[in-house]
Amino acid sequence: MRLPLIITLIASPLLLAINPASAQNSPAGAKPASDAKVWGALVYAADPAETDLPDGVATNAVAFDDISTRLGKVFPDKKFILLGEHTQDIFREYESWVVPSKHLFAKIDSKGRDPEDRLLLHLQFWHDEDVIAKADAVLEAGSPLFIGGPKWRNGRLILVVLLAGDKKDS
Amino acid sequence: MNPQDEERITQWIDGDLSDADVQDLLDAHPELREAKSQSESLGHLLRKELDSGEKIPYADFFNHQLNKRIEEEDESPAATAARQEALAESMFPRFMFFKKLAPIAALAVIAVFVTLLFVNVPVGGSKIVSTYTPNPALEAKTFYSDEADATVLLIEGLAEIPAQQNITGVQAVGYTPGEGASHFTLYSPNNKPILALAIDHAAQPRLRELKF
Repeated sequence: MRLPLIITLIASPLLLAINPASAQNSPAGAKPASDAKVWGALVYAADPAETDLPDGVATNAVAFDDISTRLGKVFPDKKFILLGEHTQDIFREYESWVVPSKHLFAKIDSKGRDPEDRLLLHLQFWHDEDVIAKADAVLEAGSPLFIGGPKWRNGRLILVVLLAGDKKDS
Repeated sequence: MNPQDEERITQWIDGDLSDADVQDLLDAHPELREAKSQSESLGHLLRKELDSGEKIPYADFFNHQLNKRIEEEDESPAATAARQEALAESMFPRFMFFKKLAPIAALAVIAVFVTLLFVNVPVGGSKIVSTYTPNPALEAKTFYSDEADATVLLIEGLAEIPAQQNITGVQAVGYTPGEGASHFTLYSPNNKPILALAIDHAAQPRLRELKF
């Protein structure tokens, strides 16, 4: 009588490990552990002379001012408009989606933290229904990742991924 | 053969033995006649094949090189090394200068290596470890911008999005898995559902804006 019970107890975690999607079907309240919190943003790098610019979203002005300044170092002579943003927990052992826009977004698989407390991850950059690029990356708090995507209008769309938290002194 | 006979044979070879003594020796040892005959035949053959009158070309140089080789074989290894170094210095003075610097250069390399090992070199910042573009027409370029303290991944070769296409974004806060069947809802900061995300059986995301 005890044998089926023992087999069930052993097999359950194995089945969950094989099919993480089934774990996502767990009842609400069983929130999986989070490795980090990531801020993802879709930014339009526009020509400063461009008129009739698309509407941006309201956000924390101080934080985006800092990102705009940094973007300006990499993409000079551009004006940056925040089209969308999404702050998301990056779950341990589960795929996580950072979706500041339904057009351009990212899937992140966490590989945990390294000894310097940086986040190791596998990232997929999506444009509509296509994976444009895949990357293995290391994210440090305060040091953003700028992904230069397709050209649009007179500028370019950029996905920004930033690990939340204080930057460690190196 | 007694020692006296051996001495007479030596004198005979040297031409110091009288004819009478030679005759006595040959009478005592008749086998020496055949040996003498073979020796004379060999001498005739050598004189015939080798022209002893031919002069050695550049005899002075030949003798000089011969004497030098003999001296080299007689001198000590240390003396040989010193002589070879002197010769090299006379022929390649610049090379010898750098050769003298070699130990100093080796010490410098070791010092730099040890410094890199023990000095805490700051290695901060995010970084891209590897990239892959499923579409071979695309190319991913990565670099780190010190000025921006940011890592950049540029995807080149993408088709331009038509200007008339409306690209919009959302302002969303995190979703939580467990809401059922790989379907997630993203909410706005004021807690309104704004985006539905569903992952289909092919692991393809399906996104739909929610209008409330």
